[in-house]
Amino acid sequence: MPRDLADVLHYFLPELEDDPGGDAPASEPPPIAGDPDENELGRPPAGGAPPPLPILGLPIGERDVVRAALAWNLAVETARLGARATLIAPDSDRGSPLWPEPGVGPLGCELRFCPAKDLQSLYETATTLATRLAREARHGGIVFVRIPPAWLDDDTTPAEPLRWMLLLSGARARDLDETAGLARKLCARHPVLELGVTLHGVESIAEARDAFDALARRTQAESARPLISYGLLVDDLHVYRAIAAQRPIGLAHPQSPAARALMDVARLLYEDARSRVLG
Amino acid sequence: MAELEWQGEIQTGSLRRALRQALRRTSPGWRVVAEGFLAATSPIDLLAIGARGELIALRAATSAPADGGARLLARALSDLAWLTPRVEDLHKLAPELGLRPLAPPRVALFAPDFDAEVLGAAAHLADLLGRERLVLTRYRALRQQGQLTLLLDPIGADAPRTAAALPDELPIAPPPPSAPLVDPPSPSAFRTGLTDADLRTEPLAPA
Repeated sequence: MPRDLADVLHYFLPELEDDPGGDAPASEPPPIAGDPDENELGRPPAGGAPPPLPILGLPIGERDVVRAALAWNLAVETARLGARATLIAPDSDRGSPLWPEPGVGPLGCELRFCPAKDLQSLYETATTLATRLAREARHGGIVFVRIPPAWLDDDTTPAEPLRWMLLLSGARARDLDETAGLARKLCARHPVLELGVTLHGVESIAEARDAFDALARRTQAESARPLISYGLLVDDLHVYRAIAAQRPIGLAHPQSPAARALMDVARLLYEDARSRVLG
Repeated sequence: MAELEWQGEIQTGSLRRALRQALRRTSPGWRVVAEGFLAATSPIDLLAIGARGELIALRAATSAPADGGARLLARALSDLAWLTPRVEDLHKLAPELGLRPLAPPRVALFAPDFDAEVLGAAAHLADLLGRERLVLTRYRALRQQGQLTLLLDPIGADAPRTAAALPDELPIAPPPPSAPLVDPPSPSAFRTGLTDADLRTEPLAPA
């Protein structure tokens, strides 16, 4: 059954526009990640190059395996939609249980580590990469960035880098308090930031909706800013099995509720990525 | 502020993206559901669903229209005529959108400027159709951190009125009384394409 007008648009019209100047998919595989090649990343875009891919920041703690797994799986599902999906994490994550092996993984989704030591350098790397990847991403894409939460507390970081961020929040009162506090802090420091929330660990749509509405009302009252909803994710046993096996849920258990929810959130992210203001 | 003005031509895709971005701030209850949606003869830039479940066609001019916006206005009326009989079909095709079949569609036009005659005509039409069904908005294109950003300036009561315009309190064709929404969006609307059936856990296979 169609779920979204976009699902049936082909009955009426060509769908979303292709990116201007889009090329055919790259004939050579993208460079395998390890340390990003600074020279390659630093190449300026050619004249008339498409705008850089949108960068989506995700605050994820150093030991937060669940959020990291959800982020990685969202990247995989975004790639499944035909988008270019790359996840960047600080070099300090190398060898941690947060991530699978770096490099090009399922469905072309890529994991890279970069030697950033703070938010500014992390975003500089992400921006350079987003600019380069845009040239070969015929259908757009997203650069996901794992942000150590402590870096968000650094008062010396310029406000400019953060434009789009996704908070993965639980739906319990304590989780919502924590997310609301983070949202308040981010809104205060980053005036142009667009803040999205995905509720995870919920058991019903009503539970997610109520939690999101409570968060949105609170953020509106405290910061006078709207929250963007990016759906919900469920924590069923498949999630934990897939985390343990470091396999994408959508490939290991494609019919599971967790996989369906991931696919839905990825679709929302991808749709918004294609409407980012990129001049 | 001149140094912030957008210089050069604005691409249609960029304008649509910037418009979506601006609407998130000015009209958080609107949910953009399609881009380049083909109407009778030309694509509607953005198709959105409003806070009351009504379909909204948004058309934007990439520069000040040479005809003052007359063609844009004509397309808006064409969109209303084309969309009205199709709302119910769209609702059947995509029931999860929260579209309300009985809500009359609306159009919103965006341009750097409109001629006074166009504004007068639009005001008169809005009186006939219902105030919210036809809205004109001026925009200013700015460069913010190298990216296109729009400042929106809705044209309201100060728009020129024609002599034949009727007082606000006597609209000829008021919209039908609103029915309670099954799925009313909040100001920051919760979004999901899932149903509760999608969340039903199936029996696990052995690991």
